[in-house]
Amino acid sequence: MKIHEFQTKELLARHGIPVDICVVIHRRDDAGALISSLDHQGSYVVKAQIHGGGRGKGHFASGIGGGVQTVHSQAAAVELSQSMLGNRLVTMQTGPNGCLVHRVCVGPKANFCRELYVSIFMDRAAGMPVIMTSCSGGIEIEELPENVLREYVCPLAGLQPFQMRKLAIPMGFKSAATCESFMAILQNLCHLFDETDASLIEINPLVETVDGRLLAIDGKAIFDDNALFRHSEISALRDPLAEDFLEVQASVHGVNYVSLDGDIGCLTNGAGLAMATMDLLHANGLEAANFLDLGDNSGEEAVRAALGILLRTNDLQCLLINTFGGAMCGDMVAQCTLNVFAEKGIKLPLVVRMEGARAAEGLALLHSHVNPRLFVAENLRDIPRKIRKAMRAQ
Amino acid sequence: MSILLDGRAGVLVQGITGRAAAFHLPHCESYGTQIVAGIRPGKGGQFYDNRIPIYDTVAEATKNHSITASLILVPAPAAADCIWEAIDGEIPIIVCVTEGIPIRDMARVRARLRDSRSILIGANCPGIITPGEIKLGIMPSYIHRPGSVGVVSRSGTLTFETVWQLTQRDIGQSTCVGIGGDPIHGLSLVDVVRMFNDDPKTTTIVLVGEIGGEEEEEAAEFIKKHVKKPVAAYVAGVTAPADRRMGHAGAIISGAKSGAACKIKALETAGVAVAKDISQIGDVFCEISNKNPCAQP
Repeated sequence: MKIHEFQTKELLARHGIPVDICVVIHRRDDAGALISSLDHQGSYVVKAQIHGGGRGKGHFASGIGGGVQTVHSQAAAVELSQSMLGNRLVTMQTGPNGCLVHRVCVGPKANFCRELYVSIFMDRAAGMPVIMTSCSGGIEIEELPENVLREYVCPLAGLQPFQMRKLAIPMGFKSAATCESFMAILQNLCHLFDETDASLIEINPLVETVDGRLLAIDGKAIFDDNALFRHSEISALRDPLAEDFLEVQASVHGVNYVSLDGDIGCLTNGAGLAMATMDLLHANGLEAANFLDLGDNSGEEAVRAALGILLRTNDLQCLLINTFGGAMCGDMVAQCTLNVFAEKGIKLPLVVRMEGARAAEGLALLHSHVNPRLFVAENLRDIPRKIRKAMRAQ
Repeated sequence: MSILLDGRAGVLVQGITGRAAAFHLPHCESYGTQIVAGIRPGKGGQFYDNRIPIYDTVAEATKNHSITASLILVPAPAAADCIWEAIDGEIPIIVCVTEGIPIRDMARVRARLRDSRSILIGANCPGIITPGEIKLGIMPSYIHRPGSVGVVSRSGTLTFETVWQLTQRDIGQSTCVGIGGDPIHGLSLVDVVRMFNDDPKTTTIVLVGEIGGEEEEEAAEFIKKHVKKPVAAYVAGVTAPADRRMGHAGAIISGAKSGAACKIKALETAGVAVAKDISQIGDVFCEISNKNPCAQP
């Protein structure tokens, strides 16, 4: 689960990591009062709050520049934040439609002498968290790989003092006090990461001010979805407005769903089969409208929810059900599908391929059901053929 | 036996009174798996199906029975604790089917595994089956047949697909291992490929990978250097968009190496025959194993 920059900075501040001051604006009418409450003469930074990265290099559909801008008066800050709100910001991570901006962060532009980089994330190959630092922050970290330092954090013992020294000393801080506060930031970051079951926390940049203070100017955090059950305070930070509506609906029912660009709706069980189905369609000149993994333990409720989500997808040409049940029973999926189609009077062509637990019973059910729009695929290879046939019959 | 387990293994089931166990244990037992004991804290002294003794702790179970493997069928919040307890009980092979375990828990489990006597399969996996001998997991029994092909996969349903295509062509399997779809797990692709390579009963290997991580690349490197047996493979996720988690916690393209194209290239460079899509894995296998022509399903 991703959260916004301003939420990340609130978390950092609460865990003893200094951040710069800013106000979060939700409504256009509040912009003036909130920005003047900062009581600042000089330049401001105005930042759109969306989950996609690359905000600075992105652009607004309305043509008001990027998602992170510096302006030189209070009036300009008010005007810019008002025009960002309610507009769509397109970045290389948002797709061509961009993300609607519901919140804008405005703060005094910090004066600093250099930008650093600090992050911690779960390294899957090593099987443990790794802290990464660089003395050249504010840019894509990969651009200057020679400046990057790494320390792996033992999941049982935590970050050790010598590791903090290994990361802090090469930074070349001018004063011992700044070096100390850098090490404190590393330690606090590790605690925050561990306590919240984060999978990534990134501070970029962490700036060093002329008087030797360190401040987190921008932050990004991602949390382990599997651990949200034990973190109600993190779950509360979820912003459904920043996520795909159907994906949120699916997650409520324990269904893994990702919307894609094609026109064949896919209902499958198992992440591997769901991906392999997308690949199979693509290899045969068809495109999936989505990735959908029911999970293997799914019952009727999940199947119904999944069908409901698929049937709400725009411009669907055909629905494909492709299951290989270990625990999930084919007859349950078949019955559920027939019920939903009958209840809602669905006219969409349906192609079904079924194997695994009680698949024979499921197929018997489908075969006994006379419906000119229902096609049963014999095996995987038969799926693209049957989809073409179903779409021609339409 | 082929790799890891044969029919003589005594099996412990952690979470023996749960919903998952109620569905899967009858299938495991009817396949021939010898379940000797179960764990359910608070129900020690009772019996599963009036036959199999239930204990509160793994320590008590290992004191009273000879246990080779443990099958863990508990909900995600309790799963890491169960794995840890099985490691503590020095159970040689631990199979954890549970999906959705927090990654922090698995990082700690993996650190604990390093100096232990246990091997972990999973989590978030279908388990392991040596056809005709023992089934420790949730795979449908009917799709398997005894034979000499070793199957290793990161995905449950794709293991089923692959095995089913082999069986439909009269090709049996030595052992099928699902290593699981989580980013941090026990046995790796390389570990299992190495076991198949060393196993005299396995003549050919099928590897099923997916996007995320670099295990396929590592397996390719190992195959290039050490494996003389023919290897066929499929990698799921050629059409998966970057930076989106595709169901499995571990299935996410997050770097240059974690995409499907890079994995396929690494495997092909190592001499592995890679199926273009999942429907062709059976045919690709036939091509490399000189079993021409294959019976079409």
